[in-house]
Amino acid sequence: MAKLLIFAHRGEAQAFFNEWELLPVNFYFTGLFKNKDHYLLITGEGPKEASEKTVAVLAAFKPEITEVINIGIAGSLTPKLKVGEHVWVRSSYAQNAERCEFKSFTTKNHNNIDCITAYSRVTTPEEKKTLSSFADIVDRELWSIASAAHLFRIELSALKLISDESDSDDICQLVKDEAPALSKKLFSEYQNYLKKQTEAAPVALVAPKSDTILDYILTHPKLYFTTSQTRKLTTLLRGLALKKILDDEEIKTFTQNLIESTNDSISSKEISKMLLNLLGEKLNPLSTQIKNKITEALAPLTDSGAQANFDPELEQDYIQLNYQIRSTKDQKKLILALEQFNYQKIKDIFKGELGDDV
Amino acid sequence: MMFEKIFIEEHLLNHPKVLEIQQRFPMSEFKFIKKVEDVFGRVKKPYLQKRTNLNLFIGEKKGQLVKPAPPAYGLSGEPHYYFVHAYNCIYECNYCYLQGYFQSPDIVLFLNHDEIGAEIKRLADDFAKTNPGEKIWFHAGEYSDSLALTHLTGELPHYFELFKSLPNAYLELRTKSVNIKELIKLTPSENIVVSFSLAPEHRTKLNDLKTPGLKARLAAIRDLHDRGFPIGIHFDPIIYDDKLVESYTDLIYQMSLALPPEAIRYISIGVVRFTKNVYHQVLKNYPDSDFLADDFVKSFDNKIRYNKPTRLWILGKVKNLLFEAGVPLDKIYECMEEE
Repeated sequence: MAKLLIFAHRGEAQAFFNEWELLPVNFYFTGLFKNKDHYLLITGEGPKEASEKTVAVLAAFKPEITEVINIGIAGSLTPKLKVGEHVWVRSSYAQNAERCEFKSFTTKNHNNIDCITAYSRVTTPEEKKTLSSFADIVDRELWSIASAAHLFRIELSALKLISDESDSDDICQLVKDEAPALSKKLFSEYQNYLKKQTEAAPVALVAPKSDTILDYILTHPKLYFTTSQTRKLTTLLRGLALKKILDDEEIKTFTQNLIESTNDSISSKEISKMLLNLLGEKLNPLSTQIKNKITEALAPLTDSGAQANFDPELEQDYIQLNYQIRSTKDQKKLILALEQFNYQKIKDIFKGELGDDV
Repeated sequence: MMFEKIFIEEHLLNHPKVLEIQQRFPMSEFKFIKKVEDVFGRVKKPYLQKRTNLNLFIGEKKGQLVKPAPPAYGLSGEPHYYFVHAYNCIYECNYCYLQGYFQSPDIVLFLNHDEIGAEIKRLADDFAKTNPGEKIWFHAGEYSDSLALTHLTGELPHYFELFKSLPNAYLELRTKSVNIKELIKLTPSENIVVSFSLAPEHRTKLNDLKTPGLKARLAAIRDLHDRGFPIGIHFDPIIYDDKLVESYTDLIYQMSLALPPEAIRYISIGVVRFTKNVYHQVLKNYPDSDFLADDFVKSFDNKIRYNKPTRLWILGKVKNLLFEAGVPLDKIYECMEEE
């Protein structure tokens, strides 16, 4: 597991190179480095460079990379943020020429500061004023990096150091001149971030309760779930927890009782299906009652040997029949069943007339 | 309440309401813009940022100022319109469609009430000519709560004066707020109905986040009723749980203590429903909402709802409970359900 740190300029990453032993990675372009826990990528300035290189690295190393962190300098768009302050960005927006990118990306670790990525350098007070309507700071890369991380479903954070008030003509020169000091500050804050993560780690390692019961059911030797059944089971367990209908212990007991009540001739697949149905009944008792009432109303048809299906979503009040006639006896049987079947009962159920027992 | 930034359309610089708002929020950053749409909704601002970084926009509503209301909006047989004088809400109901409607949770207030009023008057007058003696309805609160910010917005006297001069026209102010300070300064009028959305107490706590509780809403209802304001009620959205019958029985009883059933102007009942977009926003913003575990389906109009027997059963049950409590059936209407 590794974090991918992304910088626009090497100068911003200077302290990281000084403090860590980072080795170049043989890749399609230069600028990618690695140590035990981190990849470090220098993209060059601008959203296009950042986008291309981030996507390439994530595509190649994603299974190993679990977090993307954009680190670098940004210009302040508000008097409340002064040069030298660092921020963890909340939402990332972008502006390309006159047009804002509609999509935005939000990080989990932040201190309520938003960043807008400008496709060109901000040099005039008018540009600064326009951008300040949307965000507190401006940079040139974050939105592209966030977009790539979102594409690969990787968590993103962004650490920005305020380098100027977005009115500097030559930000490259500024980075070059101030690089050692800026980079040291970024490195120091990143170390704090790592420390906090390590301190929080023991809590994060405790598996959520629902995972525990999910694991218990999925690994039980008497049960077997297909992929879609596993999805259904996960949804049911989450629903039961959300609605506080059954806790983990109760579900465990419920599962054990079901397994004990079945004999050896029933396959694992069948028991699993029964368990899903029973958990579904617990979660949605009204839908279960409705389905039971429809099934009851269909009894004259099903008793005759017909297969009678209804809309599984319970939206449309149709009944679909499947019946094979091989003799006049079969025909008479069906005619009798149809005479006994009262479709009005189905209509009534779909009108919400479920009887006094509901 | 605090707004981080307040955006004001430049031409409203000297508007008395703008000057008042500037005085009221001295700590906010003020920005002058050409028009609200230059900034509002230009980027997707995450909905829950309203908790920490709520902005206010002040402008003038352009385009169609008064619009025909969707079907099943209000008592049937009468034409219904809604007018828009604000976008978004300070509350956080976890089922609210505003999550997926605008691209930003920021509050927008429109100040051109004269123009909105003129359009209401035009429609009411036209309707009176062709349908003498019949009622026409105008609803406020389609995209915002009608009372929550009235101490700030101050438009109520304007609309009260207008509707008092339009006897065939009815105004509905929809709310979950108990901010009735501005309202009670005004003289009640037969054709101005304040309508409150109510849900059982446990549902209010679970779902109507950051809104006044049920007891406070009932107290506001009682106060307004005692002062002679006509009151409407909305049981919408109703969310199913296994306590539904007991909890609505109790709610109706509590309501009847504040407002006698015979005094209710009308009561709407509707079952929770979402557009696909709103449903996804709810999943994102409030993933632990208990109703997300319910058995929802894509229904006749592509909205996500309970299955048909469930929602019709809910509507039938609640309607029956209301009837048993003395609410005449002709005062109850079902909201947003097919024929």
